[in-house]
Amino acid sequence: MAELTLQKRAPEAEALRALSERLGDPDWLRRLRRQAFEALDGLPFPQPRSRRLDLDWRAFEVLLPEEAPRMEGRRARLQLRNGVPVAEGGAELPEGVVVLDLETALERMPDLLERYLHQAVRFDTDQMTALNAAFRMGGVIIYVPEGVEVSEPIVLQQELTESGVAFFPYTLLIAAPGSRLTVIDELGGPTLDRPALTSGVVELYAESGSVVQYVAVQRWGSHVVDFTTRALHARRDAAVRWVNVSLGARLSRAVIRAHLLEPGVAADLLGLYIVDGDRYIEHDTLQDHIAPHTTSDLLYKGVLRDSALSVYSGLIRVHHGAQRSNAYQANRNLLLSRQARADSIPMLEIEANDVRCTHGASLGPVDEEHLFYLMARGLSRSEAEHLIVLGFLQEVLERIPVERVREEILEDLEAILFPAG
Amino acid sequence: MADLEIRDLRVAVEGNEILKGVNLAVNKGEIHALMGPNGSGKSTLAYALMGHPFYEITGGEVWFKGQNILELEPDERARLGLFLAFQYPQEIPGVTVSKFLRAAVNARRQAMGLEPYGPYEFGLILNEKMERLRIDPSFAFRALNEGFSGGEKKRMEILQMSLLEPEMAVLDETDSGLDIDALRIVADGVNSLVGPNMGVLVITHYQRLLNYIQPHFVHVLMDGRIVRSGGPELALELEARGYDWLRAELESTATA
Repeated sequence: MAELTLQKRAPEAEALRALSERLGDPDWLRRLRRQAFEALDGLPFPQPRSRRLDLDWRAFEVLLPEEAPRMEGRRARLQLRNGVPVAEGGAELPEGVVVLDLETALERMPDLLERYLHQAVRFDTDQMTALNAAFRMGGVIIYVPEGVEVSEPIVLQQELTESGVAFFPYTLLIAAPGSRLTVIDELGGPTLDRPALTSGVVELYAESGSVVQYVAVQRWGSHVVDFTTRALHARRDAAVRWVNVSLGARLSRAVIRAHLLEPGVAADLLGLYIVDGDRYIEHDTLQDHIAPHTTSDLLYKGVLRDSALSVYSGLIRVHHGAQRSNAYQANRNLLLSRQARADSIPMLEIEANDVRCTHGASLGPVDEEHLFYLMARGLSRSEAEHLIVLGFLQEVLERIPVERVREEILEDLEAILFPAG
Repeated sequence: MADLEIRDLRVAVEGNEILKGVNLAVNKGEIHALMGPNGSGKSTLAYALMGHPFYEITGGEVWFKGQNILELEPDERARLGLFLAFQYPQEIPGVTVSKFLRAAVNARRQAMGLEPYGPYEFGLILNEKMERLRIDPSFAFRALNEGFSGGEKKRMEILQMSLLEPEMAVLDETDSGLDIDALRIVADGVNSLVGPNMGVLVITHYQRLLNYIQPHFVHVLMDGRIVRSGGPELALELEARGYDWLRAELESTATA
């Protein structure tokens, strides 16, 4: 594999033009980038709720490719480094299924992209989504045609190996009616010396009757300040399992929105986060029941140690007319030190009268009686704590579809929570 | 010195002295029953022997295998061969029975200088022991005690005891909440383990369990002290007459 050269530029209009030029953007995309860029100053900065951040996006450079190689898009694994596709591999995909970097996809399926791009996550949501829309390079599209079932999990690896830059991962998933697929979206990279900013966008379109499993695993280095906005548009009878795993970054603020647009949608919304040191994690979730007979079941679980801080804020919104909907929400936190903190802010906006909604939040240390019970059987305090922590997360872990992914998450979890062992 | 020797043990809970100088000696191969009315300190003794942090040791010693185990952490006591069957076993979400038991057994084996069991080998042993205690094999993959009935939890305690092969076992009110069938299964389990390599201290409020697990010695704990010791006939006498006569007798001796 040839090493690709990248240029770094200040995030100015000139860089934007150069980016469009080198990537060969169609006119509508050039317009979109420019619109987003011009909107930047008028848009709000998505300030984390409990940790004030003085961040100027202009302080980071953006990446420009010298030349991006072209991918075939027929394989179940696609790897991008710093926004440039570098490898594809894995199983051959069924006819019509596409797993491609955006640039190649723009040449091959421009109409499809124009139809879906930034529909679920508007570019002008805030400064971070606008930056993504303006300076995005690379990004991935997954398209599964009507009725097609992809049995092999599709694996995306979006890596960042540069520091001092702003980086914009992007994933667009389109599951056409009646299709089935599982996607593992891995975002990560080594810890570097200078800070970096990531602003990611994920758009999931689960069309009628599709069955979609989407797992995002965030493992940014601890020099990264991470913003991400992810949205689901689910249509009639779609069944979605959506897992957000957050393991890295110095500060991470994730907005997760599930819009249940038509009757019969069932969305299983899971989250798992492990935070150590003085790192900060924030999840802002929306369960948006627009149509009747829709179900969302949300469970976010986290383990925090040292002086880590988690903020979970979750809104269940049931629109007028979304009768017979069920919405469940739970946020559970295990605190392994006295200094660790977890705030939960559940919110309900219910405009329909025939619905079932529950929400709950909990936080606390490892139960001393549980510890004593396990120690009374010969397990050391740390072994006992270990088992209890894994047990606590099991409820989410066991719903992550791919064995390898579960195992790697367990390894990360060990490294973060039990570094000495 | 006896295999387990409790000397003048004093234990307080939130500043109140519950055990006021307990002396007791149990040898391997012996079954001792500790009886007493509610609030006499029976469970306090069980927890203090195992090292529960809530129970404050204010005096005395407990010698086991050449060490004063009051200086050891609960896990060190367990690995040394002390076992407590809990009156109220904890429910631990997400921790499967088989995973937990293998970790516990291997911790004990390593302390004994033995090779730890691999998952397959351990699975076979676990299956066999579960069958003997009439525990459905599916329990191996369930979360520890979560949603188990009272009887299932107690059987699970005995299963743990049979796997850990302790040298000294304390059974804290193992009969409470058991119907007669479950009681018989649990008692059979205990009896099959009793032998020259294990001593047992059975803590119970009622004589009922002692019909199935026959003690060599019976002790009565009252107000934090062992006030009488005897043979199995003492348990029968308590069953027939209750505890009040003993209390009355003690008080008359004290004033005499």
